[in-house]
Amino acid sequence: MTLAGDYKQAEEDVSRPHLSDLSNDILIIIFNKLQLLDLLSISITCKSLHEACSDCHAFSVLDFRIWKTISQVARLRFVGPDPHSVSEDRIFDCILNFVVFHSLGCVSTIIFPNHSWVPHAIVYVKQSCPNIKAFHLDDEGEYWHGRVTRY
Amino acid sequence: MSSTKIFLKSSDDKTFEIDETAARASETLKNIIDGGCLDGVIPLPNVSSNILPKVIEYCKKHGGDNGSSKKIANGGVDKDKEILPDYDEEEDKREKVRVDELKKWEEEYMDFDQQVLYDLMLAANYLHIKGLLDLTVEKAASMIRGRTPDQIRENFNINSDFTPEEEEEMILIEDEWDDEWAFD
Repeated sequence: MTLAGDYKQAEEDVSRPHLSDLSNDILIIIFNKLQLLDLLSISITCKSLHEACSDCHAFSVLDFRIWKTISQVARLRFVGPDPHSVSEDRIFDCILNFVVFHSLGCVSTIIFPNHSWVPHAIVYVKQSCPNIKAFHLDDEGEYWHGRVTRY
Repeated sequence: MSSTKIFLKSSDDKTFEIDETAARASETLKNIIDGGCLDGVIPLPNVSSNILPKVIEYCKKHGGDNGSSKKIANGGVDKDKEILPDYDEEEDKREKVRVDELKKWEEEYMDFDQQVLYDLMLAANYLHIKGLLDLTVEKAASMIRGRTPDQIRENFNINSDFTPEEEEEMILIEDEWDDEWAFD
């Protein structure tokens, strides 16, 4: 009887739907409605969603404009045991490294905050993502639209 | 002109009836109807009898509508759509009432558990019902937006299945780099 019960339980677990069971075209629509922080969160929930984020090109458009919020939330959410020991520079580098790696080279657009890391980051992203079309620099509320070839 | 009835057969062989005007809310069904391939019953092997009534409920509400009230003029007016497209001020008011009523209806319609949410997203995608897909996908997105990984796991009954080594890679931000940084 116990065996039958276990079996039934196992069967229920198998049949229980999982977010990653949805087809990629549905996941893409969901991911399109989310911002960078949400996508970072979802990509570290479990293996299948981690893969889905790459497969669905969740990180093809990277918008760092609300950098203050991103860094604050990232510090609380993604930093290990000692969140306050980590510098802003490192938070940016880590996030950029993570998303560029998991974009599988498919970053198409980046909108940067106005910050000193931009030049080295541009070189890094350009090397990893040959298809990048546009970098935008947030410069005191104005956007500078330019093609990567200028660098 | 009264609306033709269409019969839909779920994956578990149960048959449901729907007005043709309502069925047209689904791009897939619309193509079948317009393609003249209508042979009594339309089989829907990807939609179970648990979810099909819910889909039909949505189609009834939105059938012949497709986002604008103009198409209602084509005859198939059902009881939910008594507004005729007169272009006057009254129309604006009625339109507003209609939108408010629709919002309220959507709120009640969208009150269901997660299993239904998955099934509805799949059905809406399969049947190409854009409005229903938008609605359900937005609900899923709202269960993710602004949440920590743990909260997302809780919302969607997800177990973290990373190995300890992978778990380490999932620490997005570390205070010290283990290896050489790619930028340098």
